[in-house]
Amino acid sequence: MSSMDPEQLEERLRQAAAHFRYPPTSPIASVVMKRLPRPAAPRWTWAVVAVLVMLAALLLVPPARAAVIDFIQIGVVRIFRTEPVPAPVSTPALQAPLTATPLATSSAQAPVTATPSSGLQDLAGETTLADAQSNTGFSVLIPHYPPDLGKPDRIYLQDMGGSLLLLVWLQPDGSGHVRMSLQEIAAGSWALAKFGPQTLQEVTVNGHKGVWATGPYLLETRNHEYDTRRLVAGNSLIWTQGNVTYRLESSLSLDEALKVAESLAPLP
Amino acid sequence: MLISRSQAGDASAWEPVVLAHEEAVFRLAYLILGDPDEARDIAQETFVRAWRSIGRVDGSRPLQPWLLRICTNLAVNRRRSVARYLAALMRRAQAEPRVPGTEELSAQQMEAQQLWQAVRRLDPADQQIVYLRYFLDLSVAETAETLQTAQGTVKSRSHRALERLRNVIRREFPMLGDERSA
Repeated sequence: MSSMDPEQLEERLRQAAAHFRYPPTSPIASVVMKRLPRPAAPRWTWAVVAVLVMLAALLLVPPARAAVIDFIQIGVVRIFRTEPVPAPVSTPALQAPLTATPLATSSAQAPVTATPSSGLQDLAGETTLADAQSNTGFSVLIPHYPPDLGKPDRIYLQDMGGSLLLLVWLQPDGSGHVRMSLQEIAAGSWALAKFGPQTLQEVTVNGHKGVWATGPYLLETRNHEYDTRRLVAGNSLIWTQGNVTYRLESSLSLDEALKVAESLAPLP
Repeated sequence: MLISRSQAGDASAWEPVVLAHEEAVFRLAYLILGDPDEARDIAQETFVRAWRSIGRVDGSRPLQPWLLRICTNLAVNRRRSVARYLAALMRRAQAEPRVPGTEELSAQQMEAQQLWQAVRRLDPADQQIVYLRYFLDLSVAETAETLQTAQGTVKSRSHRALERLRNVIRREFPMLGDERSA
């Protein structure tokens, strides 16, 4: 093909496109229609609704109140003990943990088609620790435990009205698998919500309140533009220091994760 | 008629519009993102956002270029988002990524997949023009409308994108040049 002229390449592309195997188009219209705002209801409808709501409130005050307060907020992360009721925009797909540990229920994972591994090369904001420190607006901390950890292999910084710094350590075997990741999230950038973790335990990290959550759980990531939900099986430790929320995800035990968290120190 | 009814707030008129264009929108999102779940999300979001802005649309013009433009912007933004990166990391953590077996694809389908891989080596702007012109088979005029640029610009951008694609194929996909090239 390298010797083909542009017209021949165009024709080859058209032929290829004609044979390109797309995944089946998922039902879209039905979901879209449910998301459109409903037309304003007549006044009497609202009156009926109001009465029903009041009745429901009278009948259900204790459990309703329990449900309302049944979450834990750590910085920008809100963790609900139970699954959300309304269906999300997208059907959650079970994902492997953010570690090299294969997920036992791999048959339930979202299908991966003939897709080049994307994300790493596409992600905006790859940077260096030094540049991240100059641009985050907060003091970047990196862990010094375990002793062989070293500096992160990948560093990404995005600003969505507040900085989100992502540090990634890969497995040393060159497989490209993730050993551990640490998010440092400034207030006002992203909001994360977790629903129904298997374990939810309050902890302290260097005297700061934190939470230990184990999967699988539904993780919702939100900012001004995006709102995604995915079912994640992984262990995460979330805590705050000042206005920064830290979220460490790994396959480590709680004790080990706490050691990592408590080893965080500013860049030299 | 459907557009004017939609502009008047008649949501029932929007469903046939979605049905008419959902395949093209989904396919473009899939080409850009390479993930069917994300493509579905972006396609849904495209039609929701389009509905919100339908009042600003000139009903005398074709709707599809406008929808594809919304889809492109959403998909490109999604591709660069941290949330997507995290999801990609999770997929990378799987021991063996599941891809269709080669035995499932005909020779022509296999070549189409390889050409797609080659196109994905191009920068996003080149990818867009290749997807619109050749994979979705839009005319120069439709592509220009989608990209909000002049038709002459579409032609020159297409030419440059093809040149770069040839270089990618020469460097990284020489097997594509071994067959049917005469």
